[in-house]
Amino acid sequence: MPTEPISDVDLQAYVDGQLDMPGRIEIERRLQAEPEAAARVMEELRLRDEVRLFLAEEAEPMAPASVALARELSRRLRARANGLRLRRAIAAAVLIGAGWVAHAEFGLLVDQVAAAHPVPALAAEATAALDWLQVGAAVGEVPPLPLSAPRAGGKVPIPALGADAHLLRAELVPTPDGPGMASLYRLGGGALVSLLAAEAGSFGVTWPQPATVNGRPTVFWQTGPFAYALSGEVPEAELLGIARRAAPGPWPEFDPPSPTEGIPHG
Amino acid sequence: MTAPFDVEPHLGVLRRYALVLTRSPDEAEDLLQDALVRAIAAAGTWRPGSDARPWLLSILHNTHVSRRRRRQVEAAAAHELALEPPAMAPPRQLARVQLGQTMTALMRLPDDQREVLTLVALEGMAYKDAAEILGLPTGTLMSRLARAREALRRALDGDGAGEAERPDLRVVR
Repeated sequence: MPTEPISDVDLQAYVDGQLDMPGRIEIERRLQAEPEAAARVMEELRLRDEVRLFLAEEAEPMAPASVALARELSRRLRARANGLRLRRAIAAAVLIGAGWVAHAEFGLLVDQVAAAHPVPALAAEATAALDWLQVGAAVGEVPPLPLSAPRAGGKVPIPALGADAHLLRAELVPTPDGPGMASLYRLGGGALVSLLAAEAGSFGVTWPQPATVNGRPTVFWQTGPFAYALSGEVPEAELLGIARRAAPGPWPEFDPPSPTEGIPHG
Repeated sequence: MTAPFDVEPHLGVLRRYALVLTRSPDEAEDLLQDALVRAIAAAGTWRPGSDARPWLLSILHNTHVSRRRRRQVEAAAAHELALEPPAMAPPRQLARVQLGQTMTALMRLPDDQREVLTLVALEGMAYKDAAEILGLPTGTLMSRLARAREALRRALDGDGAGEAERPDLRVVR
């Protein structure tokens, strides 16, 4: 039974890698019986590969201006990516309510036993901050992102983590409620911790609470309009100690949490 | 591992594509930087998590079109002819770049054929994505590809094997 020759459209789609696996196999099977078409396909594949090689083999160094522009662009794209992640996490927190949920889709996996308060989305962002701060460009290479001023009307106070903590880098990150500052520190023992300081979505007072977020020990707290999350490669007790010493006071120390303590009345 | 927002790993490919678009190493560098500046301003259009390369290529292509249009307007205003005749030999500056026989022939193709053939050669480039980058319907992209391939094959057959670059044709400026 005579079969039609393979169409040029199909051959082109094959050469350009547009076919799925069954499609490719079908073309290859038919090319076995059409040596002229097969030779043409080989030529087209070679030409395509030569163009592909030309595109991939740039060996000349990039102009410094191009590299600087590329890095600035990456910073802004990264900020967009992080802002989006935080929004998703906040959506998860809304779903959570007063309880806990392991919500892999939102990237917010929370240990049910670890804390009595709902973990704010900021805590999850602190663990992400630890990751990308370690690989991101050092601050000072490019001008900072233009972000709108905090709604609270002033700067977000950054707690001092103590003489033991050596600041490695810090970057502004956007959050849905305003700009936040993510900072990476190296502790005396060599461990890395990240602190995320941002405007909270609402007024509240929470003293340092531990949680395990995305597998990382994390401590979060809120002082009125500002929320903080500390995350790192150290045991929870050590994180709590740093947070309690660092959190701007006054804090009721080691008192059991009271629902109304610290919240202004009247 | 390259994160979706990393731009530096794509610079080489971007500059090489810019070289195909402009056929001049100096202008390619200029075009690349111009495009990066536009991308910074347009960062809000990037879909977080998506591959940055098609987005960057799209901005690069649009920037190139804008620059070319501006040059044509300026040249016409100065009473000079700026239209490129098809299949002309590439400008002298390209002699600096090491091009094999295939790329030499490709550089002589008309703009729209050069662009489409080069873009589709990129690994993982779907027709739909290439069409979007070039601002074409997918059908037009495919037929333009076929014509480009035919033209390239003709150019390579006509040149014979392993010949040196043809001397420049005189460009009417």
